[in-house]
Amino acid sequence: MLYAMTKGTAEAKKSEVLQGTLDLMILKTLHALGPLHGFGIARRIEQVSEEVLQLNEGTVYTSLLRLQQQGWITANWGTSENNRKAKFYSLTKSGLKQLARETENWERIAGVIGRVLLLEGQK
Amino acid sequence: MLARLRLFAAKFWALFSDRKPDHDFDDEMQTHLRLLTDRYICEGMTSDDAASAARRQFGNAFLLQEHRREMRTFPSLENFLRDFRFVLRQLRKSPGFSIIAIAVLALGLTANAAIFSLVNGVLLRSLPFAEPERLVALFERDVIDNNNPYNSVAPGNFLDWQRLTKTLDRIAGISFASFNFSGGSISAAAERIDGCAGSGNLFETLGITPILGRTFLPDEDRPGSTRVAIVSYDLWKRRFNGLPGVLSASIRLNGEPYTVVGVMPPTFSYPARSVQVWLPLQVYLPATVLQSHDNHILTVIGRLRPGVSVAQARAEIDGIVRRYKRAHPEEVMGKGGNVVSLGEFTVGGIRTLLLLLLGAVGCVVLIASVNVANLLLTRAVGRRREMAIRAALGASRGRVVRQLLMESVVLYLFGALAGLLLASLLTDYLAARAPNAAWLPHAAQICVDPSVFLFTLGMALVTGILAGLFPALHASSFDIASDLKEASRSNTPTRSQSRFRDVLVAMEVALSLVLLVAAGLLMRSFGELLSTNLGLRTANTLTMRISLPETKYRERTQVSTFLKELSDQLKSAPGVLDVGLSSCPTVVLPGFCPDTVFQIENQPSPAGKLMDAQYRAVDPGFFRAAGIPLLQGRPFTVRDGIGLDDKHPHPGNVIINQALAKQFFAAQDPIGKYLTLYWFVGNNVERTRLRFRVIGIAANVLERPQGSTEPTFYVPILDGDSTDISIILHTTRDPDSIVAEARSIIHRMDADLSVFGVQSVRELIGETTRDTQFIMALFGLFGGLAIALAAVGLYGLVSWGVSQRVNEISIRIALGATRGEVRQMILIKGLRPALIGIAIGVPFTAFAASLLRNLLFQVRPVDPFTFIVVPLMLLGVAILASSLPAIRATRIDPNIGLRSE
Repeated sequence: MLYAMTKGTAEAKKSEVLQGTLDLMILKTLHALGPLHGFGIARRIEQVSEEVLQLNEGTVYTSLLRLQQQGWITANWGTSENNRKAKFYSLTKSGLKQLARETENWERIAGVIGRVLLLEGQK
Repeated sequence: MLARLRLFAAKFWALFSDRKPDHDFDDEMQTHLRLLTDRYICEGMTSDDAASAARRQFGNAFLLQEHRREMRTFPSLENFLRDFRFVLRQLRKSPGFSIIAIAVLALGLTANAAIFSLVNGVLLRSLPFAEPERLVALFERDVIDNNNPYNSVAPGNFLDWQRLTKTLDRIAGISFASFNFSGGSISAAAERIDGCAGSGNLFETLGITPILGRTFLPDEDRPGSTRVAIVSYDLWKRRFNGLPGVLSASIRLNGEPYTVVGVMPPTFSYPARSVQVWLPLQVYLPATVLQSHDNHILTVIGRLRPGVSVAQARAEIDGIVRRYKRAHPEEVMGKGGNVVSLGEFTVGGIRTLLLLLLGAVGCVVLIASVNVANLLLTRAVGRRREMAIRAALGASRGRVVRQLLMESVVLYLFGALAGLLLASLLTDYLAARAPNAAWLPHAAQICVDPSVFLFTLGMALVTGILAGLFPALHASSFDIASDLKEASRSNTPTRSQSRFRDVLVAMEVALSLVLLVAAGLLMRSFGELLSTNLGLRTANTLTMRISLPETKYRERTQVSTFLKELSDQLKSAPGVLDVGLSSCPTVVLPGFCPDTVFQIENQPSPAGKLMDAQYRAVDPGFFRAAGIPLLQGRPFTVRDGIGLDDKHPHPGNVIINQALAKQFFAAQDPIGKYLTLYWFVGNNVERTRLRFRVIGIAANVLERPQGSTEPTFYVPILDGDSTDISIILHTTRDPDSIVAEARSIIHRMDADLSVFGVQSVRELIGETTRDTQFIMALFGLFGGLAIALAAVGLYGLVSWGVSQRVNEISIRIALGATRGEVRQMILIKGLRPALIGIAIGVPFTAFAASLLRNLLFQVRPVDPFTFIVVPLMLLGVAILASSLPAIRATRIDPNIGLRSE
C-alpha cells in the first residue's frame, strides 16, 4: 500500500514507514497544526521523525486521497507561504474521532508489543 | 464495513465526476516539487541539482498518478466505460455504417424476440393457473373402435369419476356452448356469444378467483337450481360499463334469465378465448344427458392430489371405466380411461411448429449476423493502419481486440434494444394470430417479459462476439512496420480475408436456401389447400347461422313451421337461387359436427366393431344450395321425416354419402335398406333407436381441405329436432350483396334472433386454413428477409473485391484483357460462394423440409418443383447482385486506376 522505500544501502538504517501508520501520522499532524498542504505535511513528518523515517513524499498524496475518500479530511485550494497555489487539507469531525480511535489502538498495540518484548528479554 | 461502504460511495461518485481531480493533482504535485526545489536551492544546490533531488525525494510521479487514478475509482470499469465511450464516438463518426448495421440487426432481432416471446409464453411458461403441474386432462379412450385415446367424456362417466376418485382432488367437466345474449346496463341488440357450461368446481380446479363476486356454490350446480352465471372481464366492460352493479344483474341466455354472480379476471380464458360467460353444467345439460354414459360431450380436467403422478391417476381412471364397461357391455363408451398432463395436452400440437418458427428466426438472425460480420470486416481492413498506429503508441493487442469486439457488441445491443421495442408492439398481434390461438389460455403470457429481454440481449451478446471476433483478430494481427509503410498501397486482399468472406456469403446463401425452400413448400401446400375440391360449390355461396331459443320454440311443430317459412322467404329474395338448411355448417373444423352409432337392419355389425357415422339434419333444398350432387335416389321432400307426432313416429327417410355406402354396405345396394340410429338429441328430447330408410346416395364432401372423407348420413331437418341452424344460399351475384336482405328477412320473421357466422364458403375455407396461412406468411417473410440480406451480402462481397483489385484489373485491362473477360472474372468471384452455399444448403434444406412434413398438404417434403425453382431463383439473385459490381469493374479506366496510387 505504501511506497515507503529505502534509498540505497547507505541509508539502510532508516526505518520504513509501517503500513497504515502514515495515515495516522497525517491525521495527527493536521490535528496539531491545523490546515496544511501536502508539502507542509511532509516537512512536519520529516522534522518530527528527525529523519529516521524515510518516505517518498509522493506517497503522502496517496494517503491524503484515501483519508479524503473516507471523509476524515477535506481539501480546499489556498495559497502557500511563497504565494503558490496549493491544496490545504484539514481534519473533519469524523476525522477527529478516527484519530482518537487510531491513537488508542496504536497505544494498545504498542503496549502489548512492549510487554511481549520485555517478557522475552527477562528469559 | 462502514469504511468500505464510504470508500465504495466515493469511488462510485468519482465514476460520474469529470477528470478535474486528476488535473488538480498535477497542479498539486507541481507545487510540491517546486517547493522542494526551492528548499534545496536555499540549502545551496544548483537549480538543476535541486530539481533532480526534489524529484528523487518525491518518488515516481508517473506511477503515483497511475496508482492514484486506480484508487480514485474502479479501474476495470473505468477502462470499460472509456472504451465504450470511444466506441460510441467511432460509430457516430461513420453513421452510414452504423445505421445499416443496426437496422439489419434490428430486423433479425425483432423477428427473433417476437417469436421467442411466443415460444416463451406458450412452451416455456406453464399454464396461467395455480400449480399447473398438478392439472391434468381426462378422457375416455377407444369409444368407437378407432383407438382414439382422447375421446370426450360422457357426463355419466364424469360424475362417476368425481364420486370415486382417490388420486385427484377435483375433477371438473366442461361443455362448450354458444348463446343468444341480451342484457347488461347498456341497451344493445342481442348478440351471439360463446360460453361454457362448467361443473361448479371448475374455477377451484384451475385455482382462479374472480375479480368481482364469487364462483358457483355447490348447490348451484344441480339440475333445476337457480340460474346463475359468471361473465368475462371483456363482457363486463362492454355490456356493463365495468360497473360493480353487474353483480346480481339479470342477463338472458337463449331467452332464459340468469343472475350474474361473478366477473373473471381479464387474463383468464378457458376453455377458449372466445368464451364470455360461464354457467353451471347441471343447469345447462338436460337431466337425461347428464346421466348418460354414451353421450360423449364433455371436456374433463382435474387436479392431482399432491404427490400423485399422472400415471397413477391414469391407472385409477382407466380402472373405473373398465369396471363400468364390464358391467354394461352394451353402452357405447370408452374401453378405458386416459389421463395426461393438461399443459402437455394444450401445447403438444403446436410445439414442433413453434420450435420450427424459432429455428427459422434463428436462421434470420444468423444471416443478419453474417452481413454485419462482413461489414465489420470491411471496416477492419480499412482500419489496419489506425490499429497499427495505436499499437505503436503502446496499446496491447488484447486492448485493440477488446475495442473492436466491443464495437460489434454495441451494434448488436442497439439492434437488440430496437428489436425488443418493435417486438413488444408485435406480441399482441402474434398472440391473436398464433396457431391454435383461440384455444390457448396463454395469451396474456405472450409478451416481452424479463426472460425474452434476457434471451434477446444474451443472443445479441453471443452473436455480437462471434460476428466481431474474426474481424477484430484480423484487424489486430498487424505487422506494425509493414502496415504503417503500406500506408497507401492498396493491394489484392489476403487469402485469409477473402476466404473468410467467401465462407460468410456461402453460409448466408445456404441459410437463405433453407428458409426459402421452407417458405416455398408451405406456399405450394397452401395452394394445394385452396385448390382442393371439397365436393361442394365454393363460388357464390353464402352461409349464415341462427339459433332458435328453446324457450320460444319448444315444440317440434314450431321449429318445423319456422324452418319451412324461412326457406320460402329467403328463396324469394332477389339474387337467391337456392336455399338450404342444415344442422351443421358445411365447412367446419374437426369435431364440430356430431357423430352417432347406428346399425343396419338384418345385417349384423362386424364382430366387436361399432358402426359410427357423422350426421347432419338437412332440408329438401340443401343438396342443390350447397352444390352437392346426388348420385342415386332423390333429395328430401317435406314429407320424409318421422313426423311431428311424438307418440306415433313413422319410419323416416335418410340419405347416405358414398363413403358410408362403400364402407358399410360393400357390394349391396343400400337403397331401401333400414338404418337404426342409436341416439339422437335435439330440442330437449333424447330419442333412441329411430328407424330410417335409405332413399339416396350423395357424393362425398370434405369438411375442410385437410379433412378426410367421413361416412355421413343426412336426416330430414323438418322433423324440428335441430334448433341450431346453418343457412346456405346459392346466389346469382357476389354473396356479400345478399347479406343485408337476408338479415332483414330473418328479423322480420323473429326480431329476437341474432344472425351470426355470416361468411361465404370461400371465407369459411380460408378460416380452416388460417394456421397454415399464418405459418406460410411468417416463413415467407423470413425467406424474403433472408434473400434480401444474402443479396446485399453478395453485392458487398463482390464490390469490395472489385475495389480492392482496381490495380490488378487496371493492369489486366492495360495488358489487353477484354471487358467481357473482366466481367466474367468478377462474376465468377461472386457466383462461386453462391454455388458452394447452395451445394451445402441442399442437405440441410432436405432435413429442415422433413421437419415440416406434418405441416405440408399434398406436397412431399422433398418436392422436386420447389427444390429446383428455389436454388435457381437464388442463383438468379446471386448473378444480379454480382453483375452490378462486375459491370462497374469493366468501366475501370486503366489510366486512372494505375495512377491513383
